[in-house]
Amino acid sequence: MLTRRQLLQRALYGANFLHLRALVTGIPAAVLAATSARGARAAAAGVAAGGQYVLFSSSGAGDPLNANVPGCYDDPNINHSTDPSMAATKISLAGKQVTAARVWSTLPASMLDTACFFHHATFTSGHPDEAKVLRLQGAITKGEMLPSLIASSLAAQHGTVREQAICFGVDGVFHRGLLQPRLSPSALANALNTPGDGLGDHNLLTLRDDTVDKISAWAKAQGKAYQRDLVDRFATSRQEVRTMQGQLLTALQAIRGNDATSQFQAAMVLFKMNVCPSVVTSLSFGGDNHDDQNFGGEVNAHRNAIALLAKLPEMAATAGLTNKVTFAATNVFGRNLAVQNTQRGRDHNANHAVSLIIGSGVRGGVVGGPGLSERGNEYSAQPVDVATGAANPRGDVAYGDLFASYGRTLCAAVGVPAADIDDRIRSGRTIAAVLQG
Amino acid sequence: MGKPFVRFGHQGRRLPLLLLLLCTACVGNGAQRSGNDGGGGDVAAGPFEPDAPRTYVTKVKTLLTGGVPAADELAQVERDPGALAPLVRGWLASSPSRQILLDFFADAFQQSQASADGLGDLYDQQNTPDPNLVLNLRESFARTAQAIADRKEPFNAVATTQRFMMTTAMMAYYAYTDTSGRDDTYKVNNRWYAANGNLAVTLVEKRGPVTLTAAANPQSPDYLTFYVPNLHALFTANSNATLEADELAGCAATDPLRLDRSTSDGGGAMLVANLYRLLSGNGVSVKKPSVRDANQTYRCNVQGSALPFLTSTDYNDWREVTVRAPAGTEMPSTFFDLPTLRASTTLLMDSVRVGYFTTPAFLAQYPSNVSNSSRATANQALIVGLGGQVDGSAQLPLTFPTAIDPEHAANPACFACHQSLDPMRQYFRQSYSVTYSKQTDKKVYLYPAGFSFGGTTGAGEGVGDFAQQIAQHPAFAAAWVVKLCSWATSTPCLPTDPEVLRLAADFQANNLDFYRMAEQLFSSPLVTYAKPTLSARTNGKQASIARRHQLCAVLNARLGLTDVCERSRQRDDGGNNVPSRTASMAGDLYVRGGSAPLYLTTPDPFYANQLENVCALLASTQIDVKDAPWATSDALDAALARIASDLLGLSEQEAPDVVALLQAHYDAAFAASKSASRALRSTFVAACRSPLVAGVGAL
Repeated sequence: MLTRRQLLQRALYGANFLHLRALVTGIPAAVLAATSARGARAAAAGVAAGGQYVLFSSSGAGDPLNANVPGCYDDPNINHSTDPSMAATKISLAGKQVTAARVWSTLPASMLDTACFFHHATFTSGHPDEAKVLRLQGAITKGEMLPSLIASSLAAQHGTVREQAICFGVDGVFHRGLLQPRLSPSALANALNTPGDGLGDHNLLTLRDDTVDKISAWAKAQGKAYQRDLVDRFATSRQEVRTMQGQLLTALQAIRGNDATSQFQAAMVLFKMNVCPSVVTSLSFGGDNHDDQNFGGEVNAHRNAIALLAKLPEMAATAGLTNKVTFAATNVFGRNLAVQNTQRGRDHNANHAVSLIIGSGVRGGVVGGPGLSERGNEYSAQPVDVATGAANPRGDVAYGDLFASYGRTLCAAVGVPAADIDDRIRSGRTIAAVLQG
Repeated sequence: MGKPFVRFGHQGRRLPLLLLLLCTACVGNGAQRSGNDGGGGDVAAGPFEPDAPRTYVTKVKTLLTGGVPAADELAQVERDPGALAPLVRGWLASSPSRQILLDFFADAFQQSQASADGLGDLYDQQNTPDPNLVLNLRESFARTAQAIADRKEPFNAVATTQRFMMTTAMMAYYAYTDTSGRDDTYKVNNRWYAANGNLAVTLVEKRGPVTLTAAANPQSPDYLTFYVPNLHALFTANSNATLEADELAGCAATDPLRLDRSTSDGGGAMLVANLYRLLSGNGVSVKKPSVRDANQTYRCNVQGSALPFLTSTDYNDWREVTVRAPAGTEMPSTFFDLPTLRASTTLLMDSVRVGYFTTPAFLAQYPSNVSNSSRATANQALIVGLGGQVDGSAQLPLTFPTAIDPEHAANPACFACHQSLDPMRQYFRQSYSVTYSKQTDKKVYLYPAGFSFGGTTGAGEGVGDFAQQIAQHPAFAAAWVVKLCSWATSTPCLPTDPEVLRLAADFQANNLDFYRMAEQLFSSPLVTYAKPTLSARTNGKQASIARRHQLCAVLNARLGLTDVCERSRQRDDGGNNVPSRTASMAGDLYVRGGSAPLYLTTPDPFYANQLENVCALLASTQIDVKDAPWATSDALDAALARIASDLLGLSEQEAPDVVALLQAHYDAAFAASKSASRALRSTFVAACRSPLVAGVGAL
């Protein structure tokens, strides 16, 4: 006996139907077939070999993620909270002993062994520049954003329903020049359920999709290229929603909140169902903490964020995605570190930031580190030796190339092919020392 | 308002707006800057293909009213393309268009995304506005701008006006925020409490009615005595869950209930905040001595929602109110003097309110602090008023000592932006503290405020002078042509486009008459694509999804409904109705530091499915219903014809092909469901979710 979902898929993906859809929408049958195959794989919850699913965190607040990580405990002039959770503590990253805030030691050893703390600079201290930072300050070709570049590449590998990342935590993510909506986890299920009043009956759904396609085909026959393009985009969205309904809907209904935990949970569902290759969330490590006495807000946010990260392997395993999910966090900028500049809290720092990558493509380690700037009053990211990733004032990865190098390294860690990286990121060097294999 | 406006000069050259690059802080060495802040649109390729009247008349009428053009309207334009302008004039005057423009203004003046939390962080940080007040505050300046446009006042008055559309509830809120604020050290600075600290607020029931006029009159024996007819019932178990029964009874038996420095929760400094809470129905806590231990107190919590002071009328009595400083012996308006506020069109405030950039809704989205020091506020005000921002490009040097942060001045990478932003933030700093309360620190006057943007420089004091700089700036006219054009096309219109410049010159030459500009714009090839423009050639022609406000307008107009996205109550199996469904659909969006708004143009699966659900809800309320059905299955031919003409907007010549498709759907749906109503509703949904309804410019 066929399930409702199987019926739906049979109706949607029958060869004749594909041919009809191609005929009326103008979308090549091959494209529809590819999308259909993605949907079929989604139904089986199978995961294609190859790249990772990427849980991307971005923040326009400029969180103090750069303040308490490995590399920031070697200089006594770098200010930390006196809270015990921020005390200098030895941790092991894939066998390398480093010093970081104690709270980082609460991550499972297996995560630390696949965690890379990448010191760089985002070259801005303005909150509004998050979009530019997501574009690696122009280092990516065609104005694409890092999560979107990764999503495009990984979508092809996974055969996901959507090529675009789904955005929970951030406004203003563009994919191939088109703005992506910001969604909330709790609203996802609501946004996918079928109509009531008997109109959600699968026979009627199928009939309506067919009729809308025919009306669309009629409209396309009257329109110009730009109008036909919009009509086709409507057709694509209708196809995607049918693929995402069913099992996905049930799984998402359990998610009630919109906080970071809910965003992570929803991401796992979307990955499990092979809906999208990447989800953009926002995980706070302390926010815009100008006024943060003894960094109390920073401490609490670090505790909460790292506690959530520690659950990531279990969440991935529950979704059948062990070693298939990479977490990557980037902030619009870092924050001041020097004791003399952080008495009240931390102001913006254009010249030092840290991005975090945790995933099975990473060999744990630290890339670069902070050094006092020329004027000696605040910290900047230091150049790096490309072979080792170690900070070195005379390193062959210059200060100005560090951020692009982070982007390249992240892409490599999640499975973006090297040729694509070379083609799309026009500066920087991949730091192979923190990559597996 | 400070010293008279001082103008140092303007270069007198035509300046492109600074739309793309942004710079609100210093940029470190080694930076590679991106010139692309995103945006949709199809990059133009090949020769320009002009659109026909069938396409652009439909698009323009849909944009302005949600409706579809009548056959004779289309015929007029087909005969004479010049006939579009008078049609646009008529559509702009229609009731749907006025609502559409209100939505545009609320977004364009960056008022619509204000949140209760953000508002709660302003001023004394003691009161978070109630939901109805938040809606008032978001809507107020849009109404103000529309009033300016309606009376053909030069539209640059949006920067300088001190006449705001307000409700009584808003007036009380403004007056309250003028009374109670915080200084730059975050210390509460409460003018009314300082003068009246020994007084008490008394709530009474048993003694009988006291007028609000008497309660607000310092000469009355009933000054600050408020009659609450159901006072004893306001101490509910729900709002006092931690109290023992005898304590709760003690609360209910307290009449008169006296709030003073010893009984007011939070002490005397909170007395004023608590009085405002009472007025706005937020409830308060009152400390009482414990019946068991004379050294202990417990709190009686008044259930605020039943308080009788601000009524629903007070949130809907919109009128223009002049906000000005008290003159001579006048005193600032009293926030709890509701009878006077209700009858007044003048609000007296110590703190200056001028233009779009001093409204609580604007300021709540751009909080300041000691570090930011209102730079972001000034920059955002430039974005709204002039369509550009300080970006580090060469500006005219100011010819007077300026207040540039020494740390940033020493760094060339920072100096480029800070040389403009730091003097500019002084306008705000001189008027407001970090919580946007009235500035009380005289040190902010050590340096004059200075304006340097887009070739214009000047000096002055306070936000009043900043307003003049915005209003008089040569980029103002073009900025508003670009804003409205970009909204209409969902893709950036270029400030260097000769057609934009032509419209801007006309706008300027005609007293900045907003409606004249709108009429010209919507009949211009910038929007119609009837001829090539630089913008269309550069960014491509764009057809878009109907974003939330547009979709609501379309559904209202084509189904003959009113406020369907606000008022429709029919719920589906998931408990959702049209308002809740549309609320989560893509809307127009602006972001901090973004020179241009963000317009979603592409349907995503979530949009597509919400659309289907909205259409299904409407089918259930419009098809085969008892009262005034939009269509019935008893008259199937007429129903299908109406779907084709009224909903899809098809002409007599176009309709038959699509009606045949609808008929085929109906037949198949009837066969599947055995229900004529369900079959027709399904047919309606199929049409409703097509790009002809949910797309702008799709046909």
